[in-house]
Amino acid sequence: MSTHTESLAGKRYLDDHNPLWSEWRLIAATARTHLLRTFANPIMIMRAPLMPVLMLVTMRVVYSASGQRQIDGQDVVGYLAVGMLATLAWTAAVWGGGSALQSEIYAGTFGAVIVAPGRTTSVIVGNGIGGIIWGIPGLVVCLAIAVPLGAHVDIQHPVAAICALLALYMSTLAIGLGFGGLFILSRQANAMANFFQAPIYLLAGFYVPRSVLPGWLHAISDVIPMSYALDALRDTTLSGASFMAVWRPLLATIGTAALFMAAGVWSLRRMDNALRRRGSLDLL
Amino acid sequence: MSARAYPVSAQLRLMVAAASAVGRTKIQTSGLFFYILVWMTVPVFNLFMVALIYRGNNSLQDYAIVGGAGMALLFGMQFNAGEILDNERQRGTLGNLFLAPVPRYAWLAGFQLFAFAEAVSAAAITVAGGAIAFGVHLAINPLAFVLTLLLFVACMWGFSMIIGSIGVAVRDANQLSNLVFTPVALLAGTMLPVALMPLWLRIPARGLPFGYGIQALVGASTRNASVAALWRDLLPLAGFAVLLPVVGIIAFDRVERLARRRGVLDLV
Repeated sequence: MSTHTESLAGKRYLDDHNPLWSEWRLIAATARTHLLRTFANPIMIMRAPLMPVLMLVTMRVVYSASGQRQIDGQDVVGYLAVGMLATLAWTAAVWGGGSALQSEIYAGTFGAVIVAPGRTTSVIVGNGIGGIIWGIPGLVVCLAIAVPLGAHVDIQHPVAAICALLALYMSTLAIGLGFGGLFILSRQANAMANFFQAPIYLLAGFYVPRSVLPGWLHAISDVIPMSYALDALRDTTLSGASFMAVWRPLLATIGTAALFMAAGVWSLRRMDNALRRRGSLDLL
Repeated sequence: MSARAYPVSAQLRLMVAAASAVGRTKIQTSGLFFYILVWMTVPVFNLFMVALIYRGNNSLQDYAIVGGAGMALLFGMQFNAGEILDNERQRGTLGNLFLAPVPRYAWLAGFQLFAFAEAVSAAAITVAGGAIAFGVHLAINPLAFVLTLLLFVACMWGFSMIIGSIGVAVRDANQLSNLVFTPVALLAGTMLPVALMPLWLRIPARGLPFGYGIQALVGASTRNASVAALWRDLLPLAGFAVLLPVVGIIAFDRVERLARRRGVLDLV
């Protein structure tokens, strides 16, 4: 409970003279709270580095059994390691940003978050950033074992690679924002988070190239910002692509991420209206 | 009141009532639509992913579809049966269940019965989905298939009892399930045959029952393999089918003793 009190304390940092700085402090306080809450659980500490490695190894041996040495012209381990990076980002989108308000409901602090003078969007983004940071140990371990396993890294344009990485994390936060309100409006936030976790591994091309998806699945894949960000990240880190070679997927990432952000703003407004109409802070 | 005071018919009614109660609770909590979404999507989408990786290799695709059903069984038993006790603890009803004047194994068996029905349904849907999307070449030996399934389920029942008991003791069965599921799904051979794994994975995989079970299920359902032909897999599977339930019951008993020693039925 003390961590949630701390989260609310973040909102008290609000400074009327510099609202941007105040919102940033709220985001940072929420991210810190998210991390404290997560790492308070010893099982979560074990999961942070272990699960990504196990998933990477699992997919590696599956590809090995299939006899494939390359995926879409890129080496298998490198392809999967970048897919693992996306998996961790997706986990942050669903269980960090997307489930942020649900977590506040479980903790009994939802009402305080809503009535406090900070933006709800900052709380969602803060949880999303907390989720991204939680994934860093797993990512480091994955990259550490990917190289000895034979990952072939080819970064010829570091700026392009950094842009692609930022696009991936930006889309993570945008999706988290979109889901944050939609999950609550669905009245089944936990079920929604569980549902969305696995299909995206397939649809966004985390482990299987999108080119092998049937047409109707490919159409769904096209509205997921991470699909494009992941394409750009793979091209810039595994094939040495330049910025000019990946500007289209980067632009598509921004466009589709904007749709999720718009959905987030709309759903949070709807949630706010529903709360006022009902005269109750308890939506579930 | 001891278990001896209850006739078998009453215990069976209790078991069915417990299964029905836990089923209604789960479905009514999330609604039928979301319930289906949550419990069916993981195995089905995982199967699609693996089957797409094996595109062009019919033998491995057949394996992936039957292995996908095995994963659905594991998923259902792990995340349902393995979390039953902890869910009751979180709802504040675990103490009432322990205190109820009925045999403990009757309500526990009822909960497990629903978990089993759910897991089998998910497995059937996974196979159906895989067959529709990729086609599967079935050649079933009924006796070998039923025997393998029974032994496999007995193993999973025991395993979920062990994990469930530890989950209550550590007060977070869901995170424990999340932690355990990925390595178990890998070592169980749900996505590729144990024989195709590298040696360092094959050794621990042979220390678990699931790899034998899924290999035997694949043989009995896609190659019309008889019990005699599958003895190398069925023999260790049978050993685990005896051992794991016994260990599971001992683990459950330990949890109960822990509760008595602490004087707190909810273990919180």
